[in-house]
Amino acid sequence: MTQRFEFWHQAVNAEQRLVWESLHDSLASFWRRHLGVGMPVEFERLSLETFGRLCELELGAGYYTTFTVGATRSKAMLALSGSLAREILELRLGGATDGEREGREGFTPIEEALLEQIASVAIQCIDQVYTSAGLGPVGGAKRVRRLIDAAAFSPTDHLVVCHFTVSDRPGENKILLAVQSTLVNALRPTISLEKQAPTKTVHTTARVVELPVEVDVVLGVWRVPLKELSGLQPGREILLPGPSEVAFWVGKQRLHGLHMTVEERRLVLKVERRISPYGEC
Amino acid sequence: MASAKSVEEVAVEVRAVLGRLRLPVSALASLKEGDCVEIERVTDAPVKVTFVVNDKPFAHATLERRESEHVAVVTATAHPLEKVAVFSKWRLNKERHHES
Repeated sequence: MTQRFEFWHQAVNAEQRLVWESLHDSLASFWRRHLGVGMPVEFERLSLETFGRLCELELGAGYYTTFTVGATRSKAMLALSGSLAREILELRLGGATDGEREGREGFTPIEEALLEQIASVAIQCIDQVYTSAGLGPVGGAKRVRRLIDAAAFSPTDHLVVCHFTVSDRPGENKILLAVQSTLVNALRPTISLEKQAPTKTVHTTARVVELPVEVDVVLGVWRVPLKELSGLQPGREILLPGPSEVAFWVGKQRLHGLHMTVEERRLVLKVERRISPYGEC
Repeated sequence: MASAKSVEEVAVEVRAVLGRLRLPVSALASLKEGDCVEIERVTDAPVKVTFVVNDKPFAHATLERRESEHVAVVTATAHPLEKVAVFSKWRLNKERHHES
């Protein structure tokens, strides 16, 4: 196990460390967008810890999820500190949580479900960032009750730990993303291919995937003579094409066929099929 | 020179657009069957549709459901300088299978 520690120190040079940090800085910006208001996430630092040492950190009764990364199924873990978990629940449930009121450390089934949803979104963001950097995909997510119960790791396993702080209580509200130290080396081939500007290349890739694209939600498309168009007046009723015509369009390209549901508080667009430029998939 | 009558017969492409989303490239590329994009809407307000010709809004309508069909009822013609409305509040809900 000590060998892994040495491996990390030998393999991770300053440039690689910078790439790894940039990657997790991108991840923080993904989380900022997806975790909602009141949760400004900042990437703080990297550290190397044994799993045993990680278990000693003061995370309180947090929410822990283990998962795997990439084809090599490197093990990883996402930890939301207890304080952060409670704050999320307060934000979502609009007041003190049942656990807090009763002085309990665990979560009720409703609280568990809410935290699972948050962890799921956070892992989706990790999936997107890691996949775009050539590390992903992420899979096998599994909830772990206590950090020490994470059977994926042994106490002497060395983990690269990315520390994120959330909101105005950085000392308490933490997100930790721990991955097996060997995963860092998966970035190596990408770097060796681009010896001229390794950091910039990977960094640019991570930035490109964050660029926004304007996507139209189109209910139907017709060809209409100008004569009919000029006769369009308020009150005219136009029968829209069937639900199968609803789609995402980017410019002139139809991309995804959708099923639209109008609910009281939201519109739900469910992807039914992907459409390639050469026809439907 | 083409007569006014023949010009009137020229057909243009009209799109009924619900609105516009700004999605990161990664999110768009990662969309799979079963994934949902949920857009927040004002409760009780009618769903609006914009008829667009050559990327310019031409008319506005409200979406109404008549039995199994959707009907757009035209409410006004659009101002020439208007742009398609952008949905600012949306979230991506990925269909994910967790391994137990």
